[in-house]
Amino acid sequence: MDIITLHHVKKYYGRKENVVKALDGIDLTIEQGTFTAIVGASGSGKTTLLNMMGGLDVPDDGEIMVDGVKLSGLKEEQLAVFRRKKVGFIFQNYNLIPTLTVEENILFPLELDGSAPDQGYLEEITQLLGLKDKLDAFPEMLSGGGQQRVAIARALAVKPAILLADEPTGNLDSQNGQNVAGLLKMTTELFHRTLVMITHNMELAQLADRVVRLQDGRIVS
Amino acid sequence: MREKRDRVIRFGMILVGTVLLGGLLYTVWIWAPGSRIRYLLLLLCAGLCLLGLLGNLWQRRQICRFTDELCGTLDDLIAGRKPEQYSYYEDTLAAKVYGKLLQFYDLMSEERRQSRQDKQVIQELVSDISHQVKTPVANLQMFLGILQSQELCEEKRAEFLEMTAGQIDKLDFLMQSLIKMSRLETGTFALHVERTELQGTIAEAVNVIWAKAEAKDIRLSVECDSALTARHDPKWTAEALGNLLDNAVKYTPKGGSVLISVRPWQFYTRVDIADTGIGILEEHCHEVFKRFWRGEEAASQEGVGLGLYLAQEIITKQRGYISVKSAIGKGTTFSVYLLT
Repeated sequence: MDIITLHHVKKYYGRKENVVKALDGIDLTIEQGTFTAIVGASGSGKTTLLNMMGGLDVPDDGEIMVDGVKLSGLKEEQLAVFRRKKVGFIFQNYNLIPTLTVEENILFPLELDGSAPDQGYLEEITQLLGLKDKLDAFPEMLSGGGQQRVAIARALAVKPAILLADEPTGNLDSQNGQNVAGLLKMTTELFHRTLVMITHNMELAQLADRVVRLQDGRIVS
Repeated sequence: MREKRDRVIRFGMILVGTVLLGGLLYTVWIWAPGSRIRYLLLLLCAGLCLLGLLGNLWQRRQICRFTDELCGTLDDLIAGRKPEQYSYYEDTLAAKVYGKLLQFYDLMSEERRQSRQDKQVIQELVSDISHQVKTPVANLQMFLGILQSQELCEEKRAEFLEMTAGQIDKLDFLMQSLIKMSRLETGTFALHVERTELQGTIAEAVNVIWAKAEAKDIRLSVECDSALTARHDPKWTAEALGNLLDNAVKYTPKGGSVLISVRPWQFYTRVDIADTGIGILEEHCHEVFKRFWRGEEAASQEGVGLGLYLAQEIITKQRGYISVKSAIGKGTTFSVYLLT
């Protein structure tokens, strides 16, 4: 089953002679439960593409369907609900809330949604990600790899249909990067989630079921 | 019992309401000066009552509509259709219920899809296997046909018998691999993942390959601290590492070397198997783990294309993973990541 479908998606910045084609006619389908890596030089449109999938940005032209919903048909408030229920984001700089503990950070999206946490599921996640004994700590007390693991747990907490990771290992050294990428792959596989990850690192891209190469806003392979 | 209680409560509420309303009207009638104000107040009271009644009816209709829609959605679910999700992304209570129902639907359809996919996998497997078995069986038939003909000298006969044995060995190897694969996939043989020393596991894997390496004059070396542990099933992990080592030795020319090194990390323990062999093209690094996949470079070597597939299956079943780094002509490094 296709969970993400992009059809002729275009995004241009600037005007006339200064126009920058961030995305120039992207056609892409991503199947449910797979792990896709997006690679490409910086400025090739990777992040723009990911933001489109997550409803953080709207295309100038073309259509995006996520889990059977046309994103262009949603109003701003509906998009917010869409992101909350369907998408788990993992960023390069973790984006944890410094004044909340690890546990509160993980539960935060559930609280926004007003839904009750699934205790068994959350326990399993924190166990797998090695956060069990750090639930009461604050993010700044953890290492970079640790903070990113909290971000993964937070993204998984709402059981999203798709997980979007933008260079999740960008701020980590290669060892911690392998650790985090491995855990990310393992947890998404275990819970049958669909994962799209941007990376510079070809060794990490190898973990994916499929590698999409972007160049100047186009898919080259 | 409950119905009776509800009826009593409703009757009581109507009674109390009527008494209160009567009291109010009586008070108004007694105390209000002038008949015009009296009638006005009466009218206002009547208006308020009407409004309450209408509000009640409206609410009732809302609930009825909600229930109808819910039933419609449930009917859709029962019939296996995807319910219309027009209000799914609104922040209302109804949308919340729909959201949960849709989640349930997704779960069910995922299961259906999974079972369809499983069926397809089995069909492909059957076709793959028959393809693999076809050639040796055809060869065997041919050799037997030749052997049955009388006018063969003793020397030729021995040669054909040896070739027959070789084909049978190939079939046997294929069968053994398939049995291992099916045991892993059907889960009849559970992995006993426990935190144990890696050294023993690696030693077991190396034992199997030692003779082959010796014959090709390939130097095997192991760098592993005896205290290092990882969460793994020793028997099956040795099998997986053995497969990787077998590949390394197979595709490394005479006089080369194979190095096994172990590095402990925070979450994963990394076992590298580095050879100085022919290497794998970068675009094939992904495909080498596919079932029955054989690279063009590998055509000169015996094999059925199950070794790496099995190795990956075994490692992922233990929640680890494998990655490859390779340079053509220089060598290949397979890295196995096991949970620490």
